[in-house]
Amino acid sequence: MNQSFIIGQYVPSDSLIHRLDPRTKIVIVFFYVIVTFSAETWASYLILFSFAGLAALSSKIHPLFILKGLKPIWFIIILTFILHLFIQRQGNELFSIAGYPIYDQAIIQATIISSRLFLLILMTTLLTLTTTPISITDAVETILKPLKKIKVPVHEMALMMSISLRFIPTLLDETDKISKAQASRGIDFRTGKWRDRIKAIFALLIPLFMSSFKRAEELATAMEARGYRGDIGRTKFRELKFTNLDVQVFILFLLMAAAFFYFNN
Amino acid sequence: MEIEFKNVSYTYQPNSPFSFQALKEVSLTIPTGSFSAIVGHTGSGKSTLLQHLNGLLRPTEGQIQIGEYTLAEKKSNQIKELRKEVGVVFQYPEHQLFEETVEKDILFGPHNFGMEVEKAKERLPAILEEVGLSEDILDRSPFELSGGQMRRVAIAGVLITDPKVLVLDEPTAGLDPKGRQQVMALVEALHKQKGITVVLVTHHMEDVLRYAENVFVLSQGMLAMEGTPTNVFSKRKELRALGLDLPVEMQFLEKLNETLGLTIHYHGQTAEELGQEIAMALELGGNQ
Repeated sequence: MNQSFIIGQYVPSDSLIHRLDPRTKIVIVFFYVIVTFSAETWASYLILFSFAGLAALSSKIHPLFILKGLKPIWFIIILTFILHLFIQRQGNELFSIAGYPIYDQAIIQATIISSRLFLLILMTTLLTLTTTPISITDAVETILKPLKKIKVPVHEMALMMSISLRFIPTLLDETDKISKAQASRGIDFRTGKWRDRIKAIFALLIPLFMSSFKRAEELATAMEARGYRGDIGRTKFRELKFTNLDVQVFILFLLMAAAFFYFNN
Repeated sequence: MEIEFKNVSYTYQPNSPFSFQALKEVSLTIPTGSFSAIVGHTGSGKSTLLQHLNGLLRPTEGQIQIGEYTLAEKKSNQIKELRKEVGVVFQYPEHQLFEETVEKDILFGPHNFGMEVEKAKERLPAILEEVGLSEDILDRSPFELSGGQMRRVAIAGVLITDPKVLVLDEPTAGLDPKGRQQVMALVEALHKQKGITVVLVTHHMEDVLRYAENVFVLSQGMLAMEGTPTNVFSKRKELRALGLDLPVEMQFLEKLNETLGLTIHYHGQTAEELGQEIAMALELGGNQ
């Protein structure tokens, strides 16, 4: 596993951001993303950057850790920058690289698009870094609750989400175990003819599917044995509660949004 | 094939905050044709050690000599030949079955190792007899068999490549008493009749006492004790300090000695011999 890859990973701490209600965080990230897409002026970008920077600082996670963790994304951001630099053909020609003209509008566009990308990923990464997958699932379920009126199976979807999250490590262990067992029977996943390699993947996938089905059945039985009947009449063990902190953060976000729209024109 | 560990250390994810040393300078020798048991508490490094026996893991320090093969930190390209010679039966081996028919699944190994599949096919009836399955099972899907049958098919899939060393990781886990007895009898027969070197990783001290010639006790990645089972089990205090216990036979004898004030030592007697010895000791005690 690539240890430097932190997207989707949770880092426990008791910072201000960690203590926020997951619903607050999701809603803010959602609107932040929408707002980011309408940003047009330098001042509005400055506001967006300072809000994200403030959030990152108050998460008590080392900034270098976050920036290093975004390493796989840097490549995409830089690629986007370069592509825009060469594709955009508006404005005045500034200079040329290897006979290829670069326009001033292109530089501005490239900077804007890659900053947007960076902000989006930074904010969503902050969300997952400071919120356990279980809380995110709970929050999504509560936020989407109104959709139940039009018969969207919100609870079931949330349950599926938390079960899949729960079983990712189990599945990784199982994959490791089975690939070692098959390697002991002479299989080679890396070299050899294509036909053999596809066969090798089957030797891994089929046992994985078999054990997953079996586990799913056992899990269903265990849940029923403990009285699970869907969400009707089901109480919550982890109750989500808005606190003063959430109110303050919401107000701060609204202020930021107001300032943003003021400077965006 | 003789197996020799020379100062073997293994570290998971070295140079990272998650680095964990699972084996610490382990040196041991498993003689050709012997029946050796590896015991230890959960997390003592048993399965890490086991995965070194056919090159699934390579030592981060030290080296391992298995017959003519040498395993050290740098990659070797003879791994496939080594895996043909050293058969490994993992815990719950039935989880590795995947083919449409039992026959195809058993022949999966020979196919991968580039053996003559026709020749391997001829050996099928003999192998099936060894593991105690009937031939009409060959055309069935491995997924419609019972748990015990599946495990035997998986073991047959390892035996078909005719390994010189057989490594088993808790082969009786999850089996009923009869299934346990059958699997252990099969392992003993392979060892006695074919002279296969057997390495058994187990939690059942009774199996160690009954079948093994040597036993290696691991604790926190280090080799804590080694010797013959009677020898190792005579040091019960040290064993208990490592979180292990005596086989039930010896626990019984210990209780008996304690309660009746006897001093009978276990040195490999059969049940009858022990019975006579106990009777004799009791008679002597009665006369006094």
